[in-house]
Amino acid sequence: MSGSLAETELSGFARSGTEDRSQGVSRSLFWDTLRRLFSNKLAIVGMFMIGTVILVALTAPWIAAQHPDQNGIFQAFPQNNKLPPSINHPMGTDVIGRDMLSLVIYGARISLLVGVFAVSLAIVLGASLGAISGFAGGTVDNVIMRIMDIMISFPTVLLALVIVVILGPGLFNAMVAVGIVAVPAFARITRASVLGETGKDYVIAARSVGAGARRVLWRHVMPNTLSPIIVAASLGIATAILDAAALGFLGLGAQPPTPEWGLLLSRNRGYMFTSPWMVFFPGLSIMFLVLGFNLIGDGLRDALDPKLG
Amino acid sequence: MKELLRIEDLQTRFYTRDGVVHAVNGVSYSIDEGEILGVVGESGCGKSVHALSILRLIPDPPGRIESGEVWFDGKDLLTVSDEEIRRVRGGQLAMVFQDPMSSLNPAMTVGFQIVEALRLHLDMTERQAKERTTELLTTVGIPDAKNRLDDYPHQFSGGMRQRVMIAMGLSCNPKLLIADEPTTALDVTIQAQIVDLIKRLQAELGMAVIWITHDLGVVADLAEKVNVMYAGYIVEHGNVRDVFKRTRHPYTIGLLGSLPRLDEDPGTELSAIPGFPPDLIDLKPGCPFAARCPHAIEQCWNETPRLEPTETKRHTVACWRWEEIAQGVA
Amino acid sequence: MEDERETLAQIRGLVKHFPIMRGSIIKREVGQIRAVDGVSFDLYRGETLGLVGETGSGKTTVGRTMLRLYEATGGKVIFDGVDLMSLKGRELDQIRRRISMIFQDPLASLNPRMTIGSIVGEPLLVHKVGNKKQRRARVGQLLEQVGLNPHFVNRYPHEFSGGQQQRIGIARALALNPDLIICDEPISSLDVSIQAQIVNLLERLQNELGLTYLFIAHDLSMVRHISDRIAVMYLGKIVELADRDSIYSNPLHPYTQALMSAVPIPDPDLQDTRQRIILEGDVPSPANPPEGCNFHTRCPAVRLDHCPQAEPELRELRPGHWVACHYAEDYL
Repeated sequence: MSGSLAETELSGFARSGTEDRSQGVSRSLFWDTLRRLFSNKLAIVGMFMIGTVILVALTAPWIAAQHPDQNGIFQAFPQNNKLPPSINHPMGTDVIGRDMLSLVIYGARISLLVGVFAVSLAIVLGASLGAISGFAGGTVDNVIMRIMDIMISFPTVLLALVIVVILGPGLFNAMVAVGIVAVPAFARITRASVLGETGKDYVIAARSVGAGARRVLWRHVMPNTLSPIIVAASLGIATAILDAAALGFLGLGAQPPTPEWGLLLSRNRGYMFTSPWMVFFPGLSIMFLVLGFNLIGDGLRDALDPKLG
Repeated sequence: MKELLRIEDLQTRFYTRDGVVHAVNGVSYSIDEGEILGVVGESGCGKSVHALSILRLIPDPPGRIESGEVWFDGKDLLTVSDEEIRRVRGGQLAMVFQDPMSSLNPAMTVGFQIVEALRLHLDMTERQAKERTTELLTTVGIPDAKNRLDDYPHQFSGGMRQRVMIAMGLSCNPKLLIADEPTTALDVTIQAQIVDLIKRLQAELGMAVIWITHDLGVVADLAEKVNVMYAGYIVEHGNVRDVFKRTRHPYTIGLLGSLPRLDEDPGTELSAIPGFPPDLIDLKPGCPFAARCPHAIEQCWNETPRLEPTETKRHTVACWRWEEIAQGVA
Repeated sequence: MEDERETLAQIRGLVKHFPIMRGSIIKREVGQIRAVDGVSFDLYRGETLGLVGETGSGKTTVGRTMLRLYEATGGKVIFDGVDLMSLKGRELDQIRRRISMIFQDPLASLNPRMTIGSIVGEPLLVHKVGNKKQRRARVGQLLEQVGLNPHFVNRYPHEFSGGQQQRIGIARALALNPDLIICDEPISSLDVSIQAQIVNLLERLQNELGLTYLFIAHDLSMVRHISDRIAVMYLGKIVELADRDSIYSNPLHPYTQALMSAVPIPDPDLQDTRQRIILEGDVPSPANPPEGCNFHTRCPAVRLDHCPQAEPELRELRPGHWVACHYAEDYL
């Protein structure tokens, strides 16, 4: 009887609908998420925008009209100064006659680098602190989170300013500062989801089979906290780019002649009314990239939430 | 007895990304005034969706009521205006849900929520409404009701919250109460209290009840008639005694066999139904139970059986082979 | 009969209190939830002991404290002659391999980001059993044993139905050849027709592998079906413990009587004739349980001159039939 029971159950399974559906598409969480992401029109627009910027950044040496020399300096053509947009210079030229389009194209490399580097730094530091905090609890948790609270109580740009002043101005230091400023956000998100996951049955199940603390944290809890971290990361890149641009604008980030978008804005702000293209195109580029990351971030948030599937 | 509610060929589907979910597939039945009807079935059988469809509470999209008529009080609820259906809901036709905590607003006192409903539906003054609320809460067995009006939902226990929900449902003297798994989240001793309360209310107020549950025991205890649902179809319908004692549909037989019985030797193996319910996405024609049915033949896979009367009156079954199964030939 | 049974585990005076904490920065204890408040029972090898009770009775906490998923506030769990509560490190691991657990919500108990192969194989990996190939073979064998197709090792839990997910949980629990499986309401979130499949599977595995079950549940009819003995809990204490037949034919505690009469029976004839005891009110909070006999606030047979003052002992009124009621003799 028992043998035949198992058989009938198996055959029942083979006939089921879930079985039929899963043969066509692999239904792992990763592919499910991608499928949902690609059915979100705004997220596709976002991916298209980011894709464009990445492509521009990668192909800069071929598509730009003007190129920097080994020291990263664009040659000045004083006779071409403040030319409005035309066929030769689609974004016009700046005060010293550099081609704005070329500057913006090379600037894309810097902005992407800033965003990715700063957020990576923030994730590594923030997620570790948050995970330790949530998992250990007690005094450790209290100390870490109170420090995060103090950091979060400063306006981000002000805090970044303080850090840059300590480290000294420059693009790399600005990236570090922007990354550190984002740490509390990641620490909090990670801690909250670690706390949420730790109480779940599958974690108790893992402990019940004898898994140690390290295995429980890294093999079980952390992979399940990834969704909110990924979402926060894509939104965080946008913030980081803005913050870095703000530092550049204040003269504490990238230094001239780096074609960083924020710096371009700041250097040309005196000509806003006479030669608006000098600030319009760098500003538009910042907005384009930030919006792209925001759209992807929102799309990911929906795609990673199985309840909305 | 006068007919209170008649449902004709109700069909509800959900249009999801994975495909069309055939949740309710042509449900027809009627209920008389003052009658208690149990609707039993497992998760995903369409028992809750059919109840929500009656009140047009299906979220649209993705849900859509494809066809059917729901006659209540001389009107087809599926075609009346939005304003009219709102008057019916919570008025003549009340509904109680499984999770009372999520149907009560946690930020408002229980008294305020019932008083509001009364003033809205019955045009009462605040004082009248308060008196009536106290009366209702007392009716459903909440001790010291007067002093509990200013309590918030979280200050009530699960069983008491469900009583509050029932009091809310009763507030406008409904002719029909639809209760969707109202005791599933409760302990057995509390469930017994609620079942007892419903029996008393039905006797005192003469209202009809549609009790949706997965618990065959509660239906045997409470209901006069029963619908057994499977994959969006009613597969067996009749008086409780007929359905439980002269069971005709192989699914109902299997369901009853899956339950341990007090009068059998506890050591015997339960006669489980193999497999699990079909996927309701793109449900194929044919008997929905065929894949799990020990009696399935070619015909069962190809043609959907309709409800037809059995040898006793008021007992119908949707099975091609019920006669052979009843006679033990199949 | 009594002497032939080999004791596998003895639970003695098990206590688990959870502190209630208040305050955000400086936390202080403002009270205790007395989830388990002095529970003692024996588990015999090869038997199924049903542990029933309502929400807040502490039945789940008993199971989890036995496995040291919670640290006990007091008491002993003697498993095969060794007190689990005093063990540490490797010794604890060695004993713990012999006890495993099945959970109420099968999906929640499976890590959504792991394939069922790695879920079922995890106990083997954690306890470093065999090499990779041997472990993979064992996983396939386990899946087959619980009625799942071994080819599904690379799928994720959400691709399975509730009953199949519970089978995966059972396969994991079997991985290390345990002596005792703590089944924490393994069927209560499943549909009726699937419940029977799982119960049959558990019974078959018990017969084949000689397992001992602590079967925690609130469904008395299923508990009666699967258990050899049954313990009834109320507010952190065992109120009655007896052989299945004697507890069903002659329950001696008023709470057990009420609990059994509250279970709906799917038979309209029986339902009409049976006598029902409907308890008043709710289960009191375990943070503030009543004095004396903790059931006195709801007991239909309460004697106010005695029950609210004196706490009843768990007494053996008939061989193997224990009850904690001052007046249990009345029902003999």
